[in-house]
Amino acid sequence: MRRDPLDFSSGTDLSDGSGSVAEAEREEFALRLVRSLPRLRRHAMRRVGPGRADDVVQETLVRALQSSATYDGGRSLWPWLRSVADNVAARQAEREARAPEATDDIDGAAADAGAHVDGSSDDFREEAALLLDHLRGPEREALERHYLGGESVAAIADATGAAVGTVKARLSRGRRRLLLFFGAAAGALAAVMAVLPRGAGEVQRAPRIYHASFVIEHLTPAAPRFARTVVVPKSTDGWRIEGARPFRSSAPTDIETGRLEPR
Amino acid sequence: MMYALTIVPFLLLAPQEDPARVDVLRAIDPALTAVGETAAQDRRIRILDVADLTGADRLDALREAIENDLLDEEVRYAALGRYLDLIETGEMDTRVQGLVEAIETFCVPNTAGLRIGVPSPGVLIVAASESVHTWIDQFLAAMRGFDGQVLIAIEIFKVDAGTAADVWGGRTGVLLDEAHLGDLLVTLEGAAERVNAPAVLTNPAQHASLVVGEQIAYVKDYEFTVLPGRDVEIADPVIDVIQTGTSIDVIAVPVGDGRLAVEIQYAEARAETPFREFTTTLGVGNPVTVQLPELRVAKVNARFELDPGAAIAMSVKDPDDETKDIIVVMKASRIEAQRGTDGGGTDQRR
Repeated sequence: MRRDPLDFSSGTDLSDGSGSVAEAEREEFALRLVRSLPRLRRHAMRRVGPGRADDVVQETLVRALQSSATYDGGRSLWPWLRSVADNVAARQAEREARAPEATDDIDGAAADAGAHVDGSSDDFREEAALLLDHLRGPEREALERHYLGGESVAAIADATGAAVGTVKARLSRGRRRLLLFFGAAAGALAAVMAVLPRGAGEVQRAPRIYHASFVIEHLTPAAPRFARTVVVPKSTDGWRIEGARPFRSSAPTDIETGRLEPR
Repeated sequence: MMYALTIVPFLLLAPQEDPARVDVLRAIDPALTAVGETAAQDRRIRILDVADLTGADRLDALREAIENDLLDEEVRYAALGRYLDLIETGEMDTRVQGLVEAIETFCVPNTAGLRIGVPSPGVLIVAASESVHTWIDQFLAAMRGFDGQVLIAIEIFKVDAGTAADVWGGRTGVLLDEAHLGDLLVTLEGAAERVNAPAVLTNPAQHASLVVGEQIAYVKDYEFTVLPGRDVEIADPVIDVIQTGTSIDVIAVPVGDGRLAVEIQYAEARAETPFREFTTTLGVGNPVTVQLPELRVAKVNARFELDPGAAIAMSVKDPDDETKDIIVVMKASRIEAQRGTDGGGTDQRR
């Protein structure tokens, strides 16, 4: 029978059978784990989007409990738990990347849709997320629910009793206010997109880019051949064409450099 | 067509490995000669009725009404004319081919071994793996639930170098949802030059092409005719043309959950004017001048699947101006048929 990973009542040692975590420590560990759940879920939301966040949370908890022996109880739980979650998310992304016919050719697009975010970017997000505190209450709530919580505009409207249009306006105002906090428009937009896209910002479900290319090139026509046709008298009545041959086949560079000469 | 339709019940009931069934399928469409191998490769053959999607059902109804004299006298000839129009224009053939192309283009599961026969505009015979069949079922359901057209809009901006990298973190492309697309466009509105913004409205699973351009003639080459014994060569100019302007070829299909799958081929060509020229006498005769036009071509080739309102944006450096980047934003929107009592017209919704 599968055991509920959050059921600690049975006292079964979940630490991979090693028994290295004492009972009291294990209970304390479990409590800290439960207290970290909201943060873990938000983190998973940002990493993989709401569609797969619960899977990541669940697997992270299972792995955390199984690997609790490797956790140093004297240190903060969150960095350790976050690294477990990141590994889980990365493995999930790898599995999806191996799925046939789901290639994302735009570099980074797959990472956006999936789970790859490097640590520095994550830290940046957390720091930048503090800026949400500068927003007014309704705007902050809308932004947090939408981008960090992954709720749809309609769901937020239902939950807050506001009209859909009002929620959209709050989101828009909140984003604009963040832009102002950040300064230059381009940099601000980058920051906002870097901070907030994991919930509902960028495409939620795995976007599928079969291929995409954008190139700008210069085309020039083939170089002139200056073909020469020699005709010889066939009879007094007319001419006979003996054959044609290109006078010279030259590349455009020959022409550009003036090196074209008759053969 | 009737032949194909009447055998459908038999085929659906027949066991998959029934040799008679394979023979019948081969008789329907020679393209299905490989169906005998499909059973060994875990592929299943199914007969799909798509008459409602291609309009073949309406054609049948029209024919039945005409044959059975069910129509009022005043519309009888008009109905007959419409019936003949549908036959002659091949409208349903185009639609069914569009379905086939859409399946072959956008099917997500591995389509190795996928074979599609079209015995009539209302029927598809599909030999495919189970996962492909599942995808096709979802696709056809999405097609049936889709009432309207697809608007595909492309916008090209010229921005200061580095802007694109700042906006999407140094990557060459990014996927945007509706909100962030709005933010991006607001940002670009003030800081960017909109170079081009073509849009195409198309029916689902049907190709749409748009070409707006100009053909410019130029002297490409000279051909010389040499007359032995004479001191002259006859120089005949060779005239060619270059095509400038914008061309778009798109196909879009709904793939369920409001998503649209789109394939876009876009090209924008601009000639550098005046044309460069090169004059030579080739050592003999009078000088001749050829023109060496140079085309700057921006090409976008993309196939993607997006949520409603989402967009894909890409950027490249401007090869002619290192201080600039070029950004292309592509978006597909559903234009739903208006359900008003006045009829006609469309209403853009997502």
